[in-house]
Amino acid sequence: MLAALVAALLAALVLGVVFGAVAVPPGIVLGVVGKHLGLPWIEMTWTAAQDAVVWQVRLPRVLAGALVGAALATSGVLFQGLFRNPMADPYVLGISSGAGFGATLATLLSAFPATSFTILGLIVPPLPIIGYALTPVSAFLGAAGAAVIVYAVARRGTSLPITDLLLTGFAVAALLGAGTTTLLVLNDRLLLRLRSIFAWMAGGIGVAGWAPLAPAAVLVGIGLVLALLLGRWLDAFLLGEEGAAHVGVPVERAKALTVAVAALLTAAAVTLSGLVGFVGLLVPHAVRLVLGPAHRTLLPASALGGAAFLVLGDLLARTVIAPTELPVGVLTALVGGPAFLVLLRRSRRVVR
Amino acid sequence: MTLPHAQSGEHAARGVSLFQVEGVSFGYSGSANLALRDVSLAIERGEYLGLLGENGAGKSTLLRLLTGALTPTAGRVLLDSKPITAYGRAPLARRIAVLPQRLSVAFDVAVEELVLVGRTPHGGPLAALRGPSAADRSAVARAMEVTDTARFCGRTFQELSGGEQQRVALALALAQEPEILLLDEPTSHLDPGHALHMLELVAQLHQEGWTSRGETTKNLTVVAVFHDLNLAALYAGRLAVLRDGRVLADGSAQDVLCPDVLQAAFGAGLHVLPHPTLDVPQVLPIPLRGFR
Repeated sequence: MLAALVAALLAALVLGVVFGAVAVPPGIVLGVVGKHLGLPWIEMTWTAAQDAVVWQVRLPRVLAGALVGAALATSGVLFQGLFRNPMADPYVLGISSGAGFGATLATLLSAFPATSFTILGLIVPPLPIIGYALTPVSAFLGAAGAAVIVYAVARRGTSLPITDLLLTGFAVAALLGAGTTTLLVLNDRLLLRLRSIFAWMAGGIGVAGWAPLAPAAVLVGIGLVLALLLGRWLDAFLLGEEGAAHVGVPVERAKALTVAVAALLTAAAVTLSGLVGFVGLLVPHAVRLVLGPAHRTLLPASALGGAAFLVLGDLLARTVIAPTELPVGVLTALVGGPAFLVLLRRSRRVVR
Repeated sequence: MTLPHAQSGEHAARGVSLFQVEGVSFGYSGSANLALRDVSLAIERGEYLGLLGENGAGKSTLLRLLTGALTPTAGRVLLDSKPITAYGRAPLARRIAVLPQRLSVAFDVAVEELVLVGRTPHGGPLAALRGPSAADRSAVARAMEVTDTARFCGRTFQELSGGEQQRVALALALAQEPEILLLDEPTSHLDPGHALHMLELVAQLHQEGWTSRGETTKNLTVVAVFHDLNLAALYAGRLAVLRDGRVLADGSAQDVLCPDVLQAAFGAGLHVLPHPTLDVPQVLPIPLRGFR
């Protein structure tokens, strides 16, 4: 099953690079990639323009899509395991909005010129390097903060009623979304780039070139490994918090780690693609239907499935009304929104 | 099978009992009243202790103190002479398993996967990456065989009836390979037939022990909260009755199930008479306003 998902992901990656405004034949795509990876026997049978389209434009974008999909699907699995609910998703819970707010704040701070400035009477020195690392860190803090708020408010004793969880997530998302908008409107510098910022907020993968990929890939890789290590504890959370403690899980530590890893993955995804919703809901749900809820299969299968899903989704978003590009978040919401409603309807029958 | 009935805590020799509850008081945060007040109690290895008392008397609180889930407000709970709160969660879970009133499970999980969750305390942090070990597989198979749940393999926990679910919950507890089994009203959601079968199974495990991996035989020490006095008298070798957070009576069913104690513990008239075929007392309610 995992092998099939790996094959599906590879196929999705190739398709994602092949198609676009101008199709590049699959043979040439593989040739370009092989050449850039340094395979000596490959002869260059393509134009420089094709080379640039494949290597500079489409491949980074497609890989960014795969990273975002894997990160969001895994983050969804973590939140669902923690909250014991299939409707938990970083977007629905307002975690993505937290990351978006953090990222916007960082962009705003790093948009200041490289001179010292003052905040609340404190003189802040020029921070070009910190400014660069600031975006993912700030996105992570925003995501983690939102998760902690949602958890603390929605919790009643030892239970987390789903209505409370969703309402809290809605309120947090609205609040942080408004905060993000306020930051954008108040700052002239960002307002100039409003079009690209709007595309980012709507969940568009605006990645061009390789520069933003490496840090995100490292974060997503770390997040995936940590998530796999948490798998057994998450299995135990099927029994609830007290049940998990009875089978030997240090519950508070496990919860904190799960939130931290899920927030890390959400933050990494949001810095690449803005707010893409419902991937963390759709993909784990489908995987669970086929493979069951055991996390040692659910986590890797969801990561692979999420990557393939978002690469194909972004391909569709790029081509369906070409040359105009739809942000992929619009597409995932078009599919995920109805699926969410179906799940909500069904949960009322199951949940007491 | 009869075991010597332990005396309450102050008489027990220090350091030899499996559990020692020493002057424990506990109050839930936000509640002015103490759920337990200065309770002392020793539990011996291989004992089957039943906890009785009306709702809110503190029996479930006492059980949760034994699991280490709660930390005493005053006094201490010792397991093998060491404070239970000083143990890590995983080492505790390798020794103590808990069977709740009703296991509520999120997601449609296959029965064998659920029983495998009982293996969580065995194996280090990397166990999550390599999947179940041979020891895990055999412990799960043995636990499911003992509880007669192997035939539910491939079905989801949610499909099963309440009685079947409770047996699966017991299999999960046994997969931990515990030496101590704590039960919180394990039969309160079951009809009489299933309740009896469940308690027979626990009694069998307690008396005969059970082998896992063909090497160790463990005589389970059992502490169970009962709400059914008659079942408690039939299965628990020792009964402790709680009232307002204190131990009101502690001893054999013959000692404890007498009208005075029951009147004090439950505030209702209960008639005690011998079981028609066994040498244990049984309890019948007396209607307050007369018959029909």
